[in-house]
Amino acid sequence: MDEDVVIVGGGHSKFGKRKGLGIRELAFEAVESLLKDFNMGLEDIDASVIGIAGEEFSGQGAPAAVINDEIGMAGKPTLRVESACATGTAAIKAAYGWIKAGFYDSVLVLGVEKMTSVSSARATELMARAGDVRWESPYGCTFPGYYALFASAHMKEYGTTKEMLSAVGVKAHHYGAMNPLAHLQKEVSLSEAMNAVPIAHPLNLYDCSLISDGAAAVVLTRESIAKKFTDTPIKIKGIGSGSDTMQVAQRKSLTSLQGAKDAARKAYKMAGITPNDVDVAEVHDCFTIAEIIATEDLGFFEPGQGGPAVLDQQTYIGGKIPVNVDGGLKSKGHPLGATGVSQAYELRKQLLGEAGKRQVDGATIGLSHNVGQSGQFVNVIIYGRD
Amino acid sequence: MSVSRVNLSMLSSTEGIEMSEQQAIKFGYITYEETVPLTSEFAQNLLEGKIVGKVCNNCKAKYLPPRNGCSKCFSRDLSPFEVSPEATLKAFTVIHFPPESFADKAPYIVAIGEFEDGTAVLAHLTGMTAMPQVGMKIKLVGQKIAQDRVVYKFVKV
Repeated sequence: MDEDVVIVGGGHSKFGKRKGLGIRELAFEAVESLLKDFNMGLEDIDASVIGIAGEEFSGQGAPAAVINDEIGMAGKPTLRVESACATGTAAIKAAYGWIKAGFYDSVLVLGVEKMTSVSSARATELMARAGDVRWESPYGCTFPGYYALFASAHMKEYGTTKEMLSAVGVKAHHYGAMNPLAHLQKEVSLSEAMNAVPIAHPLNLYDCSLISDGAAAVVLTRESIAKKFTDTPIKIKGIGSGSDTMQVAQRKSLTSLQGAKDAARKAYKMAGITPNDVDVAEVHDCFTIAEIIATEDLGFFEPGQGGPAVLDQQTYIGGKIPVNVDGGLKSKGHPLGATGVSQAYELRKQLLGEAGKRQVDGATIGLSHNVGQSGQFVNVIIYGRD
Repeated sequence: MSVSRVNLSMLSSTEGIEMSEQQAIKFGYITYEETVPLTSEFAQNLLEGKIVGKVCNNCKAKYLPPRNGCSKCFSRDLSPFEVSPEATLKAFTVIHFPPESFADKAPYIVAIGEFEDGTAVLAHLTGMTAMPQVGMKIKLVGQKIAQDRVVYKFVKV
């Protein structure tokens, strides 16, 4: 299949603590939202890919089947994809591959997670088990902990400060406050962000993404039949992926993610662009230090310049490269399996000029950077309006 | 399969686990997966004051923590090598909000220390009276914390 693969629709549930809703209701809400700007129902969709990171949160084993049924796709092929927090983009990549291989013309990608059904301590425990359970998890390192390790090394190497970390959180909440789908819609001051309760030094509450419930959906199809669904398809111009050692202690660098650098290089090459061509970026800010490292790994800033760039508002709208202007994982929320699909949803809105108060004027190229665990899974996807 | 056969097989497998658990020393503060001989052997060495990794006799790749086979050349021919415990602190964090099963331990320091031969591990760092400094000299020591359980931890030199 030599045609380009395009996104022809997007849907998004409200992210947050969605009491009373399970994974199937969250998935339904995302597809219901998708159908609102779609020319037709799901009858012309051939298959689904369901991204969901863990079943311990929802209690449902083999969760793709129940979701596929709930969204009216029972009888059509489905697949569950899991790559920890990079699950959503892995699902998009799987659907892209299916279409490129000629298996299906049109595929629905749905990412979902229900996380608030367990306590924060339990959720921390479940996520910590995605560390190496033989050699590292037995020492109680949490996911904030792994990124705090990176932060300590980044601070030592480049002089990154706590203020720079907190400034990432302040930006996230600034834009999250304008996003009606976000989990926490409130501004946070720098002093509030700097003085919040500690989680894993040097990271505090305002350095950490939220434990959220939510779902997001996109429809992928071949470019030649896109008109059937929409007049404004968005093209997938490049996809790159990478990984890294399982044990964080074995990393060659603790100040960058090799998998992200590899993924970015491949995605830029496939899309035929450079970092300077990107108009708006959605990066995996599971922690504030992760956004700083991401903007360096993606080539937006030199290593060590990601922190100062935030203080200088270079990642705000109007700056060098607007980053996470939907609130990011920090303020919009981080339902693991939904996150990568939510990035696609947001970038589609940006490239269509439909992002409202958060619109980056004239954006034609958007980049999504989605990281699983502490860099063991990375996908970078580049979307374009042409 | 009959009910009695199911019961019988459950009984025998339970006995098997109990027997191996009596012999096997566990590694770490908590065990998430079944303790395998590779881990208990590592823990036994630690109990004797030795940090023992594996080196591939074919391609010389070094593994600390140890592996049963070489992930680079797939040789099964690996020999033990001992690591000198002196290390440099590469990164650290203070865990204030722990996983559920570490609730009674927080706050604790998790650190990555790199040994002189370039190998590195993640462990707790204890005995600090001030905030650790990346680059400081530390040392890895083993500690028996229960009859059948051993941990390693970094201490300040």
